Amino acid sequence: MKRKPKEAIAKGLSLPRDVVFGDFIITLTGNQEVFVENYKGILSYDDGQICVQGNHVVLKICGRRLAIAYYSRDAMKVTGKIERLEYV
Amino acid sequence: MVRIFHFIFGRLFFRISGQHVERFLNLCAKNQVVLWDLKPDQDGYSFYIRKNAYEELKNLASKTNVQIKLDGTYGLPFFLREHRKRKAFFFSAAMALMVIFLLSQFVWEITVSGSEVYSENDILKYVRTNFYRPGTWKHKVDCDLLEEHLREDYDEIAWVSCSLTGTRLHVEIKETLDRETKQNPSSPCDIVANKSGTVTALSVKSGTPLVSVGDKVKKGSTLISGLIYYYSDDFQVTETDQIQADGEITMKTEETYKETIPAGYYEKEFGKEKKRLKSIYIGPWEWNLPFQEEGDHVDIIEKKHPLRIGTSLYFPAGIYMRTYRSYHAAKKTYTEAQAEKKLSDRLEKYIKKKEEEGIKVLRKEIKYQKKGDSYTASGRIWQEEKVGKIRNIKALTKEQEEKITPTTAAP
Repeated sequence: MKRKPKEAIAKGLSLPRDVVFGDFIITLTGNQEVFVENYKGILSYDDGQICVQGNHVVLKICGRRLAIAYYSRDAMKVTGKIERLEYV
Repeated sequence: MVRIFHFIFGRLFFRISGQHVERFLNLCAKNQVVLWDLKPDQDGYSFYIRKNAYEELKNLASKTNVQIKLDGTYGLPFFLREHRKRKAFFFSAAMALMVIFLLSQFVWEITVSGSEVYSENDILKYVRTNFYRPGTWKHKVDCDLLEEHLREDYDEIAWVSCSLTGTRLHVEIKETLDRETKQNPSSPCDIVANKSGTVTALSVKSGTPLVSVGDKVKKGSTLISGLIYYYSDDFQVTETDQIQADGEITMKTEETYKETIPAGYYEKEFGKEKKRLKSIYIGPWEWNLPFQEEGDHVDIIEKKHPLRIGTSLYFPAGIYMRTYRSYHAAKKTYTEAQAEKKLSDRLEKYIKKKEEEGIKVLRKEIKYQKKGDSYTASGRIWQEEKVGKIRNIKALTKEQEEKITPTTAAP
């Protein structure tokens, strides 16, 4: 399989992937709090699930009584009872 | 912290609904409008934003065609606007601030710490009657003057520092000179003996030593002078200078020890403690609260709790609390062996305390005796200790001058 040049450079120089590719950084604290950075925007949002658009993938946060405690350009904090994180 | 900022700058509570609500949210994020507590609602979302982002939010809403509804305002700016007609309220709030500011311009509390030979009350009384009473204007307080007078009037005080922080005048006393306190005097000074004895070791950092090892020294005589004499080749004084004398002097001193305890004594068996508010005071006025008399055998401890902010901003008001401890007294008598043990315990404690202060006990001769209804321990203690006390510079006597004059020319 042919590797993409950008990926090869990132791996060779051991650069962080969140900087080069704009991947998600997710900090999960227990099952009560998720802190998500490096996203493009919200796709959908209701009580049971939040879909967040990333650079190449969509992150789906599933749980109960989800609320966004804080939402700005670079970071968001979701609180509630978190059950699953999925990449779609 | 964030909550405090939100309170000061004010925040708005919005409900939104419409077709492209997610797009609206993402636009908000892109335009630096931070949303918090974003929650799904019946047919849309609810969230808070800061007060001055309102205009921006309105533009974005009309762009994405969502309906926004202002559903509540919180924080200080809205509170002030709502209550702007209550003049009395604002007036009294301003007055309260003024009163606090005015009261903070006076000294309301004087505290003393570090004294062992003199009681703290003694020194407090001295400061109150001769210098500053509580209620003195802060700018009138001259700490240097107070320090000087305290040093002069109390013999045992080796070092004293007065400081004014907030509305509290704090007097710190040390009765022996140690490393850290010695470096503090800002003006030239001498070091004088605060005890009589024989000098056993002497090291001078600065100043002119007036004694040497083996000399017998009387209390109050100068050990190291802050005066420096410069001599010409034919031993004439060309110039004098004043500096801070510094050094360490160890002396062998002798002390008489006497301790008496009565043969009969009462042993107290304490019952339950009771705490009660005794009175409230403001300035010189005090209101006693009604309270019933306690029985005969009660220990009463009264404590003053002044009103204060932090550790140094005291106000001229507060409360007195009283703790009552009832006890049952039983009379007992010491046997000779018990009394001797008690006395020697006390002596040991006394010596231990000395050792903690850096005094080396060389020898002791103590006798135990029974005299009538009491037991006495008496005798003498020889000890080696660091001595010295700071005093303002005094001119040298003729004898002292002769002593320091060089007798042979330097090779």
